[in-house]
Amino acid sequence: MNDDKLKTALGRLPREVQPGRDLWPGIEGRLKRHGAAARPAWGYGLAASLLVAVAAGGLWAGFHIQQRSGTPQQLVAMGDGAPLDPYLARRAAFAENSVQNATDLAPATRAVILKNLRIIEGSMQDIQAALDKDPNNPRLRALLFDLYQNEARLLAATQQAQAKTNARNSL
Amino acid sequence: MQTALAMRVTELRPAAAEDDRSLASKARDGDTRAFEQLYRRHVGRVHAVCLRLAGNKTLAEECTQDAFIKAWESLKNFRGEASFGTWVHRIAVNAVLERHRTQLRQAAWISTGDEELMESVPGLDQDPGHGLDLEECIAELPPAARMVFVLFDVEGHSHEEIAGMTGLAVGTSKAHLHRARQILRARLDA
Amino acid sequence: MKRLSIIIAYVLLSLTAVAGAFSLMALTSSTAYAHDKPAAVDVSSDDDSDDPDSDDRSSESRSINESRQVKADAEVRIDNLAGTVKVQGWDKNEVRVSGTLGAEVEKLQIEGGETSLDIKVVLPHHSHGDEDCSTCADLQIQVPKGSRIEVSTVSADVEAAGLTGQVQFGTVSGNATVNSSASRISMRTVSGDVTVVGSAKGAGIDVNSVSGTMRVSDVDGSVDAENVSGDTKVVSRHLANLKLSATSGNLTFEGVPLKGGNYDINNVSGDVVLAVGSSPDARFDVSSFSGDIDNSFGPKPTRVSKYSPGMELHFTSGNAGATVVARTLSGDVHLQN
Repeated sequence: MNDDKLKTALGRLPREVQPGRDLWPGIEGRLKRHGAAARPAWGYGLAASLLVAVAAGGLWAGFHIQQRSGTPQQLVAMGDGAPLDPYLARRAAFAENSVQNATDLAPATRAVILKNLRIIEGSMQDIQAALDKDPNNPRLRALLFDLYQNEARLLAATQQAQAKTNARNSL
Repeated sequence: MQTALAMRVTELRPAAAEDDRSLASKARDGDTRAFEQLYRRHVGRVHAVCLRLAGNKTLAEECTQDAFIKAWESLKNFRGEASFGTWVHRIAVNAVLERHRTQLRQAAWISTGDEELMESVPGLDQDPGHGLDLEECIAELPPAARMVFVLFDVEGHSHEEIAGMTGLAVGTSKAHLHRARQILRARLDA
Repeated sequence: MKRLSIIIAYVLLSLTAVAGAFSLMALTSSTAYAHDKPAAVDVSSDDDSDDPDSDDRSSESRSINESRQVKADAEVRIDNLAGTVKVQGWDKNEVRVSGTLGAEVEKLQIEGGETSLDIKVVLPHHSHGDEDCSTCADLQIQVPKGSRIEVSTVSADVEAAGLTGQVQFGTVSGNATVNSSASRISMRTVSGDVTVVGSAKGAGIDVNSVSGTMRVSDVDGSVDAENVSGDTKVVSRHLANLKLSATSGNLTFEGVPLKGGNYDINNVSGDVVLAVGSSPDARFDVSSFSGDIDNSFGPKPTRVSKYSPGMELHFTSGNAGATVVARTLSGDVHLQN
């Protein structure tokens, strides 16, 4: 091309152009309509069951390895209120941080989400404590998996609400 | 115990900066959240090409959505040899071209020396000061010329590739490109 | 002494560098500003200034009456921040928008063509807060009954009736209500309530809220309902599949489990009530970590594990055509007639 203006203008064209509105809700709705509604549950189920199995297995192995040093028993004996499991505490902090960062949400909404997040986290500790003593129990593992799913859904709903409110705020 | 905990932390922590391949793999198993992350990463690029090819915001949004939905449906065919971004980009381009199938078929009859067609080009008669923005000018090009221009000068395809994608002959593709550049130079020089 | 003066010189140098950097940042940030793109094409004002006192805008509310020809199965998207949106299906291949725009509303923007129409209430940049509802728009929209409707609002309530196509509503605090025979229904709110009445046969319904109350009744097909703290109730004798989930809200299903159907109910601290008739044909798989399970069908629950208070209950009633799974963490489960 032997024209400077056109070439320069071309060079300045941005690589990305965001759509004027968030297209994800429209897409997501149609993903489910195409029969994918069952699939996320299965994918979640498979992945989460594997993760929970790994977690339970890791805990069981850890318990047996560390039995001499008595660390897990110390953890379990810490009593209510204090986080029993440092991993769950870290996970809780991460989740709560995500919600705190959703600054576009109405304060009342953020409060509801945090309250429910803490309900989930509390239940996770309870289940984890029970799994510590009874690690291969399939019912307990299923309940823990339910909690992971529930938490993931809650965080996703937070993100969507944040995106929607944010899109409106920036008009 | 530390090793067991560390292992659990890395495997169970929600993905921070997961790469496309791993997200696509999860999406293939039905994980819409993973697919949403892929969407957010690549929508800018996909929408850009849809917008420039279609020249119309509404159609661009439709095609962007169509592209991602098609990508979701074809995930099992995505082996990961190309990057996810390139793959969904290609789906998007095909989606827009598909919508313009009729116009492309009609445009197959253009020939370089066709003065009559040059005169009917919109925009040349308008106020020269209007629309110095290249994006706007591209949007106002006649459909086939616009699509060829975007595919060649913006997206970097060859005429052979464009011929394959649009169904135009190589010579016709070159003619449309020439016409597009002429129009654009006239607009930008004004 | 020499060392001390070197140290002092170094400290002074660093302070100067930091001060210089800060003043440079202050300088550049005062000249950089976000450049907003002007609003899309329409008849009214093209003014893209940020000045809230611009006198291009009218100072009172005004009524609108617009009409567009569309195909019978067109996609119609409606975007309104605040106020109300009422959608009514009719037999014409036409979309008619009437109603009023609040004083602060810049314009009603309608773009698109026969297959796809975008109706958007455009507000000036930097406008927010609608205590006096000057940014509200009340829209009544008549659409072809087979069209695909998508409404997005923040606080505006949305209602729809007389539709047979597809409906999708997304709000933050607005209530979402639909009374239809649509084949795809999707409602999502943050704190607004959701009410779905009716659907086509074999429809796909999904409803989602964080703290709104959700109620779905007289539908036929599959329902996926997710809530966090709001209560959810699904009433239907024609559901092939049901997925109900909440964190602390209560979940209620009143209906009949159909043969081959899957009914999956999941709660953390909220309760689950299953009112499935006096002799359902289903296999029940119920467990709770620390909640109570009470079953009016006979079999009593047993302990899940000797290390936890949890209870479980698995039994079959009638011909076991359907599968009903209910799990909670600390919520109670009530199986009723």
